Amino acid sequence: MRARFCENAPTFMMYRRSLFALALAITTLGLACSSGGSGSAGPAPSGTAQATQKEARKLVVYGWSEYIPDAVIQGFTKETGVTVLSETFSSNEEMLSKLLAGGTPYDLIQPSEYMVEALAKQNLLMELTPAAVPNLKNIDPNLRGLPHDPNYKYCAPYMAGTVGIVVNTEKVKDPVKGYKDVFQEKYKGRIVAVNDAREMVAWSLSTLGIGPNDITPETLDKAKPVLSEWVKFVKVFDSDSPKTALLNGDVDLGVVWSGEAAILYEKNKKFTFVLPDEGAHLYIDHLCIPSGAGNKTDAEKFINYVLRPEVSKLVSDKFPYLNPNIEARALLTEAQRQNPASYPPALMSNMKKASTFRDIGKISTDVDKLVTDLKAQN
Amino acid sequence: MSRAMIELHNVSKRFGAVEAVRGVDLTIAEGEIVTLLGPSGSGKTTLLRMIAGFELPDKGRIVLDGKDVTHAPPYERDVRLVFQSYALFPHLTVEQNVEFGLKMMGVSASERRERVKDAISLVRIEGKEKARPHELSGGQKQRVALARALVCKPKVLLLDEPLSALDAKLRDAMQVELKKLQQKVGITFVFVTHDQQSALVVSDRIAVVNEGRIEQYAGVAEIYHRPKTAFVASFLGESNLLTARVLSRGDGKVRLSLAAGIEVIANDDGSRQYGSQVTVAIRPEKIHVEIFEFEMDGTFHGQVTDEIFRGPLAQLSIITESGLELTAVVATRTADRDTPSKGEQVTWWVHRDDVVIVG
Amino acid sequence: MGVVLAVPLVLWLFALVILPNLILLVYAFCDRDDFGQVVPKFSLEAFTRLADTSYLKILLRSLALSGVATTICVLVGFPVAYFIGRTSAKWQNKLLILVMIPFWISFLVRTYAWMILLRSEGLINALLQYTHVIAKPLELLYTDFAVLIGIVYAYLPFTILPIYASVEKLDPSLMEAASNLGARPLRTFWSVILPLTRPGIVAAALFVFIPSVGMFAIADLMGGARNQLVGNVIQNQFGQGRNWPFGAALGVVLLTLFLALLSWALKKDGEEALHR
Repeated sequence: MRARFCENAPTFMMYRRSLFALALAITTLGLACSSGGSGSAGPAPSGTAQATQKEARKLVVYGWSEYIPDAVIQGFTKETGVTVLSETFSSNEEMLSKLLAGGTPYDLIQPSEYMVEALAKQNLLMELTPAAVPNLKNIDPNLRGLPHDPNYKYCAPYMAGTVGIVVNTEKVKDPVKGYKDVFQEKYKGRIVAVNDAREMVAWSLSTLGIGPNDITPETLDKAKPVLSEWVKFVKVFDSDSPKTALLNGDVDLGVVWSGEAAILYEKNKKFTFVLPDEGAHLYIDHLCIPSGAGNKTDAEKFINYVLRPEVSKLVSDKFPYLNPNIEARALLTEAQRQNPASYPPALMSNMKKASTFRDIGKISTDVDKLVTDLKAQN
Repeated sequence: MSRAMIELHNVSKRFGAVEAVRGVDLTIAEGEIVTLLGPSGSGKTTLLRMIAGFELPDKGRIVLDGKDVTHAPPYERDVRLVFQSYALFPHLTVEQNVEFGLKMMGVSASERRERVKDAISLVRIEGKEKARPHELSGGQKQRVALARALVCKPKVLLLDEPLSALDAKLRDAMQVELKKLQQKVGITFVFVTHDQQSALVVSDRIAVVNEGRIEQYAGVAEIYHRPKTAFVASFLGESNLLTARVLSRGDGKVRLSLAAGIEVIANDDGSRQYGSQVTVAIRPEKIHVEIFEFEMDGTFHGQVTDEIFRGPLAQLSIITESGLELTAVVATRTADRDTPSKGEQVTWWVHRDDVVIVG
Repeated sequence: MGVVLAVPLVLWLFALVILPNLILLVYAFCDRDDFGQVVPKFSLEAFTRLADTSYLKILLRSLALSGVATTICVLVGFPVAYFIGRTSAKWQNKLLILVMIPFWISFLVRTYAWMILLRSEGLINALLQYTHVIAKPLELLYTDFAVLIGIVYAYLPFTILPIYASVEKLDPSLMEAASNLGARPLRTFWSVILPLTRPGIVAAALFVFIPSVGMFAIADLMGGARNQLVGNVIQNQFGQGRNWPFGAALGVVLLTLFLALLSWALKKDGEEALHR
């Protein structure tokens, strides 16, 4: 599960996000008000009224909650007359179960890279018609040829990010360069980490020089003693809004999604972002057309629309992830491009070296079991 | 008179705007059955609850067997109460209910067993020891409640309308039984009721309570025959309440005019002035009625306007020529000796002892 | 006629209670594919995994935490419920509305409110530091203590209401009778009030215990997800853990546990009812 976010709030689920904004507003006595409403101010464009008209075409989009800005959807509807109906999920697995259960015929889904791979393997995705999505050319060449879909046959990248280290430099004076520097006895009870077993295993493997996708019973055995120590040092596990504990001063450093780190950096420069020197990995969310889609034509139109630089920029404005669209990146402000969490210099200069998660199939159970066990021993 | 068991001295109690009890003085002797009789809302239940300790008086003192208990909590008073609803513990058996008070008193297990057995046989509910309250009839619950209170051998047993939930037949039987039981155990009983019939049957003395005050406190015969107030006269049995004018006094007698041409003699209570207005009470059964018309000193004529046949007795409504209306009760007669009937002229008179000045 | 009226209830019970639990039971004995989806093939794998001591440990931890929370809820809820039940009817309604008011606010908002109170720079720590009671902030949030507070807070109204219902039915003359028979207040409480309100207390305890064992949101938010409860483990099996059969098997274990608990409570209650 990865968190999507809006400007200043977690986005585990839509309601949770707005509630958090409320909670934040209470604590800061209104300081947060001006920005708190930005994400949910306008009504969601449901478009049901238009959908009932005979002529109306509609597109059912199943995406991460609070991840596609309203402006993008409204712009698309205005231009094409296609009504967009949206449903949201908060984890790849949730999306998968609903997709497999049938019911709603989704026209577009928004899986992460390892889920794209799994879905493609199971023939659950339609191939894109290259002529219909010419804007795929805008994608960063560094993000091409990735193992989950090397030639973007099935999907178009939407947004990307990394997992990295955030340090509150007012509290932590020693240099922190990698995971090893974070998970130390001296920081016990001062660390936040995303609550994600696959991530944690990947970090521990990287300190042993093992790749994030090399997950076998043997490598898990090797990761176990490392993780067993680490779990003891962590105070908070939170995938939805790991920035909260940092912002509130409950912890001083952590391993979080880069988007979360970008917000922390925007709020206060004392929160620095560090790309782990053991090796960083990228995660990329995509737009795909599931095999049961009823409106492939408009789905492709939507993908192509989102890949326009000026549209993609709208996404970056709202969600400061790494934008895979080079042309869109060129439209960003200097400050946006200089945010070290959104665009870590070390990563940008050497993106080819960053790895991505692959589908690991059934062994994900063992990954989960390992972390559950270690937490239970705590 | 024997030793005082309960003394109330100038006791008052107010609930918000309602003055439930106003300056009551009352002494109940050891071994007596006293009934607090009054209509609902008269304050009799409040009096009882103050004796039990559930309410504290605003003013005055309560003395129990010589000891001031005005402010003592209920569990420190040696009185036991039989609740109107019986208030048996639904989760306990009959036996356990009866045993409850003994346990609280710290009586040893062996003695408890004996006393519970005795109490159960005293109220004659043997065989129901293991039953739960919901399995009992109203009469049986009543007996258990009695046993539960009596087994503690309290100085005073308070009974709050204990017969009101029973049907008429059972009530009559229980009245007699209660009286016998009291004589057997010799405990002071204070009985609260609004039912004058039960009060008369059960009590040695009756305190008639009205509007927070005691109107009269006396033995049953006296209170019936010599009511002090109009309220007592009418609440306890039936009475003709009539307005009269004092014509003359002397020789311990007073001459009263009830209406034009109707003058009766009453015993002088010494307080009446010539010419003053008084209220007299005459019990219906004290009015003698004959169907023969005759003239004598102290006899009057009247016409029967209504007749209600009640088996052994008949109730007659009589009106005199001067317009005085009376109710009389006469024994019914066999067919050949006629009871006066509607429309007939009758002759009536009343004995001077039976004309009671009540106000 | 009676049969016809029962139809909606039976349908409801079947569709929303029996059927889902049957599906749960079937899933627990099925195999799974790479996605973690259920494959209709008999397998005992999920149940063999249950034997793992770490899950037993998590289960026991959850039961213990819920047990403590239940005890606190009943201890705190009883006096409140008793007070409300014994006050005048006019006040009863007002006080009951006060008890229910938290339900008008989303559970998550209330949980966040607690997080704001408990965190290192939160209200409680700030107050204690300001008044020099403590020098350094106490660690309140992201601890078992916080999870306990969260559970007690969330479920306290559920304890108050059933106890209130049984207190309200209590005939006040029974307490007077006990007092009249020489029982001091404490004795009246133990010998009369407690046994007579027992059904309400048992119901209250079940209302807290059963849902709190399976609860996961509070452990995630207020406990920092560090110490997992069985609810977290189950939730995870249907998500990242990708093991629906195992999640279902854990569900079946909890369900069995609760059914046993319920039937015990009902049997006790039934015996009690017979004696009324």
